[in-house]
Amino acid sequence: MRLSSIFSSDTLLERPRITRAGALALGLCLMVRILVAFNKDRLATLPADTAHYLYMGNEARYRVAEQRSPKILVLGTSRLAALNAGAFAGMLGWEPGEVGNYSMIGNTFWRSRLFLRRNPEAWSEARVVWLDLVPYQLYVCPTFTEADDVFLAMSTWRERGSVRDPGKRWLALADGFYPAWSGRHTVDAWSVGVQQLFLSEPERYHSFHEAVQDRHLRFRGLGPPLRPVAGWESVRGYVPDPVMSRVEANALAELISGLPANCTLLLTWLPVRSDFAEMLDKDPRARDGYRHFKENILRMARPRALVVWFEDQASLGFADEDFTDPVHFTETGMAKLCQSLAPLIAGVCEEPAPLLSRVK
Amino acid sequence: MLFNSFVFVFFLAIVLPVYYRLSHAWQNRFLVVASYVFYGWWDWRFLSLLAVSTAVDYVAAQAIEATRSVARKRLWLFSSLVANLGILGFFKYFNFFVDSFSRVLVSLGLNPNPPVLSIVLPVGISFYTFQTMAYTIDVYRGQQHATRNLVNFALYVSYFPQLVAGPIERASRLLTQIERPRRVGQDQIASAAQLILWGYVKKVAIADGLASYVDIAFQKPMELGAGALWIGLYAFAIQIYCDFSGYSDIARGVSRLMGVELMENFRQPYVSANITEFWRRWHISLSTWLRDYLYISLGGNRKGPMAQYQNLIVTMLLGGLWHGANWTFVAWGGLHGLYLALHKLITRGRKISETPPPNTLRSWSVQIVKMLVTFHLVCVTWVLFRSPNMETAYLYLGGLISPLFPFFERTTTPEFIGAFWTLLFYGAFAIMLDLGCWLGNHETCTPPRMRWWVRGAAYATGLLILSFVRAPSGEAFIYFQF
Repeated sequence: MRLSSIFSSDTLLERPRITRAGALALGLCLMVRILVAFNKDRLATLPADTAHYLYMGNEARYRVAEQRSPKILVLGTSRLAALNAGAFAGMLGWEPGEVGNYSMIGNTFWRSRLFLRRNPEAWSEARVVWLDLVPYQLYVCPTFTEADDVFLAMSTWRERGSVRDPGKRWLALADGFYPAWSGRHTVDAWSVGVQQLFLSEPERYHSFHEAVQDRHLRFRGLGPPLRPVAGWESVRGYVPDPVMSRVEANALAELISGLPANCTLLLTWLPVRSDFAEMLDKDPRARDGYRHFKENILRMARPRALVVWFEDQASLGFADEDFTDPVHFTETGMAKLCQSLAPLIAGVCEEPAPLLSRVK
Repeated sequence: MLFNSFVFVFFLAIVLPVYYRLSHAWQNRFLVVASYVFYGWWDWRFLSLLAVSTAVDYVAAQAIEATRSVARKRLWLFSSLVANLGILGFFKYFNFFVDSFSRVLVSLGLNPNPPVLSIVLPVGISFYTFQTMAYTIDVYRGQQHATRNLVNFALYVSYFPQLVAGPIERASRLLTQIERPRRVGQDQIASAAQLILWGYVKKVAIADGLASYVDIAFQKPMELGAGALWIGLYAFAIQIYCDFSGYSDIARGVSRLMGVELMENFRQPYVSANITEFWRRWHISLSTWLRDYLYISLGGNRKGPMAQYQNLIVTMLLGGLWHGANWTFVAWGGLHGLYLALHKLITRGRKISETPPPNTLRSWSVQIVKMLVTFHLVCVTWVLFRSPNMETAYLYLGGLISPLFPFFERTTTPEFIGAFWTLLFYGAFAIMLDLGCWLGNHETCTPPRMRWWVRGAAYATGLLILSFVRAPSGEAFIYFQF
């Protein structure tokens, strides 16, 4: 018995060989996989899961917009999703299309970077790119990014290699070679994808945009109102343990270094309801996460970003009634926020890239 | 460790090459260790239960065989049954019985304050408990020799391909194979790969693909129209079949790679023309276990028709309870018992054999009607099986026939339109597969012999489905909870 081969075995009578039927099956699968790889862009509007749907829905909204190079590009989280871009543009005395709000639920630095990588004209003429800040954006958070479906489908090799968790990193790298995970979709999604396969790119995005509007039910449950703040556990999705995500940190660095000339990156820590603010101050775990986040943002953003930190919201005129839950604004709250920031943003547009951080 | 996880793929990639390198005795020792790792991956604390169950039946069987006294044999058998059923009863039924008892007291106007324990149900406990009990009973009946080799017996109890969801094997089949050296040839590897592939298609694509719609339908049936409820019910009928038979196929395929043949657990149950035939095709290892160790022990058909009907109902009631500590399962079993008794009553004196495919248009029509009736009778019982409680089951059954809802109202939501297409796609796939096997050979239900390129195309379809289609969410096997 030769030790070098498992096939020299008393149990295994012969070396397993592939049958003709098996070879045909593998060959066919390989062919189809290659065909799909060559049509990757056509299948981009065929999302794998709800988070992927949300990202593509947002991108489709941008692709079908008339004004695709706004002066102010808002890439916020769900907290800024309610900002009325047209009204804000009016407040600044501009045309409605000059402010574009492409905020989405669970947005992170990496997703903003992805949006701009896939749609470079979105910030080509922008004077301000505005992101709001939430600690999960910089940390390894179970809810978003690191090796989720959007990431697996659309990240670069460098990004895949910088995933923190070794298991997820291998999954991301393996999926880059053979998209066994991100290339799989539900039957329902395939039925939509096959219908879109022969459309031109603008038609495909239009069709997807309409489909997303029709299927808004799919998004139910992803952005539920935050429960009343009751200790760190209730907000851990927002302020997780401070474990830095290299993917997110790199994405923020790239956002800053890739800024077009005369464009300022505006990072804002927005006001929160008093119970949330109190928790950030008193709960040791939340306080650590928050401080760590603030220090890192201020350090990383220094070169070309303007950081505005609304720390004392009461003095700025925000009350608990301005929130629908601990972090999301009511219409009045959003109007107050826009009024507070409009002069600053108008100023930045006049005189770009002020190299300072500001705490209000 | 789930069959549909990457961990299992790695586990198998390590186990198989090592297994092939070892001699027979070491193979068995190695498989015991591998099986304990497989089970302990879920929760290592429950390995002790597996060990206790093994030790109890090993000792009891030896003692039964060693003694000539019938009374002592009975005592040892009784001890084994008490130990096994005691463990099963405590982990699976303690809270159920306490809760049911306290409800009775409340209905009598009393105010009990019963203890409720936070007990985790060990995965697969019902399966390996029944398997070890079958061994001891067989030794008691003189149908099986007690093995003296503890390693072999430990492997019989813990053999990982069938440990957590069956098939529930008999010692006469599995232990015999464990005791002999095993051989694996090219044909076995090819057929094992085929079984594993179909098993994964059934589980990962079909069952998991339908799971989310089933969950929605059974969560709030009162909010859905009859159309959505029927889609949910058909989806569950296909989901549970593909989930469980998919698991059994993977188990048989993996076991075949090691040269061990496990029994067939499903033989195209939905082509059954009557309920008796259904139970000969559905979860065969459990139905034959119930027949051999419960129904026959109760007297079977030896004491006249009335006793037979009664035995059928009692057997199925307990079979229902085996599935879970909930009155819905008891009702599910009871209804099947009632069906079986009624079918026996109708067909008294006639031999019920498995139906061959018809050969005329008329017999085809009759056959299809019978199949549809049987399928729908089974579907009605699935409502009880899937519902979290009796209230939901009543609402669901009411909703299926309720005239208050127009058929399509609250059905044309995106979820249920998606469910309809998914069901049509997978339903057609599963039905074609089963009908093909049934038409190929109605007794063995093996696929008809096909040309190599047709087989190649079929395998490619399976691989492509696995490679490109995903379920809305990954699911554990339904039968793990039992």
